[in-house]
Amino acid sequence: MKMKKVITITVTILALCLSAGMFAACSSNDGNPSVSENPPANNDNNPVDSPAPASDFDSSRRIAVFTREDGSGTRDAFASITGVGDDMYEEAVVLTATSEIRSSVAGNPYAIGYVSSGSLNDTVKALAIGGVMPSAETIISGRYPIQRPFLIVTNDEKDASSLVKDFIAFALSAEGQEIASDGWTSAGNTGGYTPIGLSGTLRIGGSTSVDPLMQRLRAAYIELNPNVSVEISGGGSGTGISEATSGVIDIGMSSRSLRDAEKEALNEYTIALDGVVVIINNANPVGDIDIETVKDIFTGEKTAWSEIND
Amino acid sequence: MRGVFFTAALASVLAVALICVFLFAQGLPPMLKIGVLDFLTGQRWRPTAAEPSFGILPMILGSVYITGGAVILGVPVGILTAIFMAEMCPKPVYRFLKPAISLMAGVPSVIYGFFGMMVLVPAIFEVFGKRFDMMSGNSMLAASILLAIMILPTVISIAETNIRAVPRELYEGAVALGASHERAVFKVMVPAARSGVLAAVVLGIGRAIGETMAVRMVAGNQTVMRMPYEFFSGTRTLTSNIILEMGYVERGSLHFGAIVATGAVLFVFILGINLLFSVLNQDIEKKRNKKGAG
Amino acid sequence: MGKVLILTKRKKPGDWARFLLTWAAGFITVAVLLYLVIFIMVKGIPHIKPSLFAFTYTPENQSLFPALVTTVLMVGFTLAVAVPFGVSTAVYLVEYASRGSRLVRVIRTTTETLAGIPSIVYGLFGYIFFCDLLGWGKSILAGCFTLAVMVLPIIIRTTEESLKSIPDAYREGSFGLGAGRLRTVFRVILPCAAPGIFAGVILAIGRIVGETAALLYTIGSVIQLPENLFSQGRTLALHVYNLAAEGLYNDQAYATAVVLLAVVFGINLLAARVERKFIRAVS
Repeated sequence: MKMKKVITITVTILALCLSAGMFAACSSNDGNPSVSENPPANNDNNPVDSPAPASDFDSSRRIAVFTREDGSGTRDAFASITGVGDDMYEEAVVLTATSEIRSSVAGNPYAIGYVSSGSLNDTVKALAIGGVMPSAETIISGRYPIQRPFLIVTNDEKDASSLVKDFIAFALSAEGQEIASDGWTSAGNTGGYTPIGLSGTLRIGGSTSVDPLMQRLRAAYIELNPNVSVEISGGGSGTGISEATSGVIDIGMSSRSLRDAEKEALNEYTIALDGVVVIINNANPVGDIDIETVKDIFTGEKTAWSEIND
Repeated sequence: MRGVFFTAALASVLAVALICVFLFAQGLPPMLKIGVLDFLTGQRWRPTAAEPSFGILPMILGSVYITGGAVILGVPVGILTAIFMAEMCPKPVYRFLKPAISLMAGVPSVIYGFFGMMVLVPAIFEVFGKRFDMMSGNSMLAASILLAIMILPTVISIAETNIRAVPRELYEGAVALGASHERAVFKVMVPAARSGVLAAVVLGIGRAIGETMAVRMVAGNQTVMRMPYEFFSGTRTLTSNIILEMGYVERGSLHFGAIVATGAVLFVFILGINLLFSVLNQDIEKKRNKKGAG
Repeated sequence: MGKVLILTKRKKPGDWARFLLTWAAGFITVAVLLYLVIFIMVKGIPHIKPSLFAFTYTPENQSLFPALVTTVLMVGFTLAVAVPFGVSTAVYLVEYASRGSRLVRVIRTTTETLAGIPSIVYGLFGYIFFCDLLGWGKSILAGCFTLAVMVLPIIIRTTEESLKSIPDAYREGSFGLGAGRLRTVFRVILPCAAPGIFAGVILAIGRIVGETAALLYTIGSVIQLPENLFSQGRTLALHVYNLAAEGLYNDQAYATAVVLLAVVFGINLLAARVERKFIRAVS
């Protein structure tokens, strides 16, 4: 009986503390708009509100490194070009979507991350690499170093099909590349496209980075070819490559270059170039960074913003 | 007709059997190839490195810590709310609360995840960031708080149903013997619903361990070994390890096998927890029977 | 009557503590929920436009209509698979099997096991078994069966609890009037247990509508209206996830989330009404 009483009292006290704690946490969420509302909530539609005054930036603070997951095409391209390779900083926060990286960076003054140029907006600040800002011009000329091709891939059997041929011809034509240059970078086109009145179903799948571009290509294509239906599924570059190889889908999408073994089995077409943009919070005074520093940050060699020279 | 019911009842057994068979058939060979001990106690997860290593100890610990935190934070609130709903609250409040809890149960985890990302993570970073040299608000604490919120409706609805299922005579008897309303509820009604409340906690733990989307959005997902007191640092759970990398891996590769094996380990975990709770449950039943006899 | 007793008994300090604790807990729960819902409403409602409900999805107009149709299909087919199995299992456990027999214990343990299995493991299993081994590919059918296995324990558990809560007197009365076991089950037990069963179905629907982890790799992510059960598709929750994933359409993602919440709310309201009707019908 005594034991029971003791237990009851302990549990009651514990619960009281916890609920008080929860309550405090809640009310700090509710009552302190500068904590919860402004920086995160406005980052998508109201960029003007989000940056704190630059003078608040405490450069002694730790760099918050945000990275994509192992196997992501974006991470693959980023790690191999910057020289980070397999040594991605263990403490780096791993997120699986471009938007998550972007909104995390927008909500954290000390953050750094990288996203596809197609997903860049003014809620975050793009860093110049060695003085070069990512743009169509610097990406085509190769002066902006961190870039990758958006590929579509087919196996030999599918490549021979007239529908697949026609779609690829459209994607590479002036009409298709006009779409690609709105948000991404066109690597040049093969001239005008005229529909030849095909019908059938096209199955496309793979990289989620290429997906937004492919959705727009699809819409334009079926407008010109009303008898064709195009299904687009996601799954990532790896899935796109392996399913295109086995012929489960007609066309695979990849946001990374093919490995040698994959090149033997597949035909590849570059439908756009995409810069991988290193992004920081708008409140961060840093504006330019060289590629070695990027590597040092993402391998964990440099961990505070005070170690970064602008 | 009895046969029809019986066959249907076997379906759930069959489902568990199938899940077991396929998870282990696909997960064990890669685990053996990596080395069971290397897999379970390895501290490095570098699946795509030139020299890959597949160690999931950080994820095992991550799952345990985060779920534990969620239970500590969420279960007391959940059970107390259930008691509140079943015995304490005025009718108009109940009429509002009940649908609110159902709505809460229906809110998809993606939405909880975004909420956590947009509100919880920055708030934690703002409050604790400087003091604890946090890299970001993505942390075990964020995941635990979010999960505590997410298991509330499960715990509440099951516990409430069970407290309500206790015969009214017990309450009336207690009050007739001079107990106050609160005392009767806490000392008679809730203990009488013990096994049901425990069931609510089991389901809550199940939900917490099983949660994937929301956790992976706020937990940070680092594959670093953590200690329980490092709840201001991020970690990866077994579930998020699966969802993070499954989209990219090639079918049939060792990486895919390692991910299925992660699922198998998670499954073994669940089996262990279930076993523990059924033992607990039996214990409670036994005690009650003894009391009844004495 | 309870009220009178509360007023007449004087509360001791311990009683006040218990009283306040439960009220605080209830308040916290409501506050968290309200904050969450209002947060999403504020972010999403300004972006709800009629074009969001257009018949097809185009890159210029992120319509959620196909996802809505897929969600309804998913709920319907999943319940069609899971409810008969779930209710029958519960009926067997409570009404037929001798309580405490070895078989009942096995079934109960497996049900509990199923209940605890993380949804991502269902996703993994569905991907390996339904998509790959049975050759259904990523499809609505594979998604349905994956989810059906997932919600089975919810339905079994709630049905079982509500069957158990029916006093044995009802059964004895029915037997006494000459009804057989089967007749008793269908005419007396199940109607009485209907509100409980519906509560389980509501929980199940909530799970289906909100599920993403188990569906991500079993149903695919094609955004058009499904042509048949072997089409890929995406439910509303998956749609929110996918829209937000590439970060181009966050406003629409929040708007879709609001619609999703509205759907969940609508289902709950409807279910509450049906439940109330059943209670009236029984009494």
